[in-house]
Amino acid sequence: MNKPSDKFSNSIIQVCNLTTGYGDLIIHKNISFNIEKGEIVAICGGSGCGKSTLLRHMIGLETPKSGDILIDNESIVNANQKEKLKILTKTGVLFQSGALFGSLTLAENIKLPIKEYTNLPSETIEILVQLKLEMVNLSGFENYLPSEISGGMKKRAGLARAIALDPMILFFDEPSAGLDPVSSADLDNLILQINKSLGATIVIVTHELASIFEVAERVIMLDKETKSIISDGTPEDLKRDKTNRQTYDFFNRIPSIIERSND
Amino acid sequence: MPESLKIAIDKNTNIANVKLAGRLDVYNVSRILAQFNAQTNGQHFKKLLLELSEVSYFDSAGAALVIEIERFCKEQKCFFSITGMTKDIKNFLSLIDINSLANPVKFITPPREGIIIRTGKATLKLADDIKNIIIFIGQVTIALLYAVAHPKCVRWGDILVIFERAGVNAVPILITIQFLIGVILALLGAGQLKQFGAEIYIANLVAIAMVQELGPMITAVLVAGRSGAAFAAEIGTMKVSEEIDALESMGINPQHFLVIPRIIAVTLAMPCLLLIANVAGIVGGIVTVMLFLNIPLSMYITQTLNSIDMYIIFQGFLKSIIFAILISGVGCMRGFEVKGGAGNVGLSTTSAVVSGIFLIVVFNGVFTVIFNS
Ligand SMILES: Nc1ncnc2c1ncn2[C@@H]1O[C@H](COP(=O)(O)OP(=O)(O)O)[C@@H](O)[C@H]1O
Ligand SMILES: [Mg+2]
Repeated sequence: MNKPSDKFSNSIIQVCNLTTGYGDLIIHKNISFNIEKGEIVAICGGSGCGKSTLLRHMIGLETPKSGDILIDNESIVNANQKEKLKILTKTGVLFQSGALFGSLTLAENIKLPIKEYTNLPSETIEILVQLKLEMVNLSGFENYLPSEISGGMKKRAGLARAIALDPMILFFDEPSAGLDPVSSADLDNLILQINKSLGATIVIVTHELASIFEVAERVIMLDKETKSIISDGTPEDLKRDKTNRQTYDFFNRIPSIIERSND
Repeated sequence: MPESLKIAIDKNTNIANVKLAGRLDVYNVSRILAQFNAQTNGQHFKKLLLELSEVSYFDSAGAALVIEIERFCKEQKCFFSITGMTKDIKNFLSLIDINSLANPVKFITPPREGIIIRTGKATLKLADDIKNIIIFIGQVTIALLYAVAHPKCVRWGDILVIFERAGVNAVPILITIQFLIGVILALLGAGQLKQFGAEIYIANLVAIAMVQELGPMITAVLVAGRSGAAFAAEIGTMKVSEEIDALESMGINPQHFLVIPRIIAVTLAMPCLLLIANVAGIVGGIVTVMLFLNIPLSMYITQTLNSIDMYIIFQGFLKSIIFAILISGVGCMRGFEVKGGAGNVGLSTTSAVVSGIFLIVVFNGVFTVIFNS
């Protein structure tokens, strides 16, 4: 496991001794890891182990109990409102449902962050919108409302909005949830292309094994019992690693309820 | 290297060499674009060569700039080519088809219709609405009869919770409002009746106004604002999140599951609220009279009791029960009408309150006519 180094480093995300929870409930206990520029990292683990919670902390939606999270060497935990906004322009998030605004067309959804953060002339903004939709293969759907397109298209439109400001880091919460295998593979493909062409660092919360092997260069495995990181490595390594039972079971799809005769 | 734009125009061949350099990001692209537009304004080129080899940072903003220049060329049918693309730029542009983007698309905001069309649609909607209310009343009646016949199927636990929220929690605000209305009525009455030395009739005024009209009406309006709106929002949210569909798919009748408990709870709560409301109003009157006029307390109370009879009390309670069914029914109905997204939940909540109050006023009129003829 990477040890978080001193404050200024090349790592684009540094999580240092993070403890999180809701009320008295502790979700993560003193976890630390670094994510390097351009990496594609999958955060996985069983349901309820706190993947979404970790993600919400990394984008500043929740405040940790202790510890720090640095995004591009700036603490999002200790940032004031203005600093936080600045940090957030470096990140884009694709929420599970796409989280498009239902009353706005796709084009207006994508325009929203661009208008909010830049003072580009409207003609240029329109070109940017066209460009983003082209990137996610949704050219021609500019004037559709979210309710008029399919689930896979919603995810891609959400992605177009997430990359509206060319973020350095893209977060995905269970991108393949609710998608058919083809749409899900399309999205994986798109994630890879965006990583390659924009050089964006990508953090994906997922438990879709196919996706993990397709896109992730590194997997961080969380555990509910110990509230900590139990494995960190390439998907291939984790699949072979027999030292940790949960990880091995996860990657080899072994149900926890079967009797283990070889125990 | 600071971002910059250099344009060299060869006057003989009419070829423009445009060179972009430095960081092209969202923060300085608009300035460079303005420079480009200023320097090329009114000129016609045969060829435009865009040189990008000294660009140090390139993202969508840079791409948008390139596309703007390409569009400029396309408009005046001048030849356009890009040279010196760095690896980063090539990578970036690999995601998009820059030629297809040279054609602008039209962005349309869903248009607002004209006043005539909107009036027509609103009229049709009103007619539809009346039909729906009648259908809904029918459905609810059937469901209520079913509930009476099968009391075991009724979700009494839910009823208790809703009774608390719709009834008990409304008590403080109801007492405050009614008490103050009692005070106002008594003061108004005192001003007028004093001229005839008939102050004692303030007791009749306050009591009858409260028990027969204001009590049921104010209570109902308050419940419409609190609970009618809450029901519409709750059920509307359930509709949006497919919870209603889930109920139906499990073979559970959403009417029985959601509407009946709410109607029963409000119908039970309303008479209790009315009783509290009437007492609060009359007490408001008493306090005012004690403070500002010298009428003996016992005399005022006797006068109050004499002025109201069982018939008036019955009228008030009958009305309030009907109002309860109307308000909770229309609140639930507005919830079920929600289609699409979260924005419509807000609309249905508003509409639940408006229709609730509308129904209260209309039915109050009907009752007044019936009881007085
Ligand atoms: N807002 C919240 N308040 C209290 N507990 C929560 C909240 N959100 C999540 N939890 C709890 O935190 C744990 C981790 O949740 P989550 O991060 O959503 O898990 P995952 O995404 O890995 O399935 C769960 O046990 C969940 O019940
Ligand atoms: Mg989750």
